[in-house]
Amino acid sequence: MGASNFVKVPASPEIPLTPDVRKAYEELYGQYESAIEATADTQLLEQLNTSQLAVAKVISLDDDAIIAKNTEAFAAVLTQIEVANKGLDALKAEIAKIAGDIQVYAGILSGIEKVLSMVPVV
Amino acid sequence: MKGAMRQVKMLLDKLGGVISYAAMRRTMEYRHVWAGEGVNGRRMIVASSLSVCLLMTGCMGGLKKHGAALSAATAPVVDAAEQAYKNANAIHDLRENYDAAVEFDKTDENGKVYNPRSIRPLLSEKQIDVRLAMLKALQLYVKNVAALTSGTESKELDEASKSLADGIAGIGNLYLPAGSESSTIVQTVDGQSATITTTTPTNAISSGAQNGIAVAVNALGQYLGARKVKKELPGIVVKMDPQIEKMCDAMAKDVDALKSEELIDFNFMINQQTLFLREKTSMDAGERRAMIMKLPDIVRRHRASDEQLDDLKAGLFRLKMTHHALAADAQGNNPEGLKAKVANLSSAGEGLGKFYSSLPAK
Repeated sequence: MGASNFVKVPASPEIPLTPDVRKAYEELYGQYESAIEATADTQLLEQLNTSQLAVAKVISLDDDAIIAKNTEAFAAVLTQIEVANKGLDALKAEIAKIAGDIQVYAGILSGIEKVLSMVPVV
Repeated sequence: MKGAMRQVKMLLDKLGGVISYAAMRRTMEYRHVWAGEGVNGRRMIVASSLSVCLLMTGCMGGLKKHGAALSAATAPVVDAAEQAYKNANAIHDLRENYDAAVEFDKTDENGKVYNPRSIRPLLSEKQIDVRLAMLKALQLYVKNVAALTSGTESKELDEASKSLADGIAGIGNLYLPAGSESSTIVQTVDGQSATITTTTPTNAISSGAQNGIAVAVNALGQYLGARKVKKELPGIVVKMDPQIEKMCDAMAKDVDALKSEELIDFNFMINQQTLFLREKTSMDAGERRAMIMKLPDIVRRHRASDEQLDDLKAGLFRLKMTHHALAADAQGNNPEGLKAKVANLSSAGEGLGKFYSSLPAK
């Protein structure tokens, strides 16, 4: 594959890459990879590896930016999930309280029964 | 529905079978105070409690189904995501080892020699920690949702219902006239048959009636719990839906970035190793052969990792859609709602049946 057949990409692109620019870099990376896999010429391999590495660096910078942006998104989501979990804990406690309340009434009845058992039935 | 009705019928039949009735009119009058009109009234009270409970827990049917589905959809995502982040870092570390071999004898464009201290992980410790904390919180959220939508039966409620029934029966038996139970046997001695009737006093409130009270109280407790869940859970789930969507979408982008980085890392390892082996034809033949034979292993590892990331991405989509379905059901937008409600009547009946069976028989 001649050099003129490779996809043209901006020399110093802004990170994060726009989808079109990202796609162009990925395509160029793939073209270098195809050329690498098609030759055993060590000189050409060295040149192709170096060129591919330069393209890979740009893609990696974009991946880093995506991962960093996601980290911020995840931190925000984490806060929201924690709020929801507090709400669910409160709901669980309210439901547990129903059984607790019934147990309290049971205790009261048991107490009444004890008191009444001391009173002779007329 | 048939199953649910069978459950209720079975329960009532069991009640009818074990409840004994004292003949004394006065006793009946007292009993009417708490149990309505005799056997029918007692059945009606328990049946009403069951109906209310079944209807309310039946309304929870869709939520229960989607809660369980959410739980099933979350577990593989959490496990695979943790593994994917660790794998990506391990692969990147390996690539850096290859990088060290390539760069060791070179100087960069600023004339600096290779320094192994310049290595850095693909994802920093902080980046991993945030992701793991989020996944842990997600697991807890799903566990809570699944628990709340799976029904409001509990050991505590069972115990409290029994205690309250004991208390009511205790007071009733203290003040209500005792009942009686007769049994007749025929004895034959020396060819002479004699009929012996034994009458034994019983509690005014039989153990069957006591169990009926416990079931009714339990049903009421479950009804109250289900009502709370139905009132409050939808609000929480609906509010969480856009957050879950945001999380799944961001994690899908994470997966794409990891795939991209792993492709670069694996290609780098293979290409640099291939170049080295093509250049060093004069190296020890056995050693060279061994190194060449390791190249396919790198490819295999790449393919396996790629497959795991694809599975994770599919799992994230499933998780997002499952939560959407739960949120839609919570808002009453589920076209299968009625079907699920009917199906769940059966499981609600089964739950009460199980509790009733655990109560002591006379």
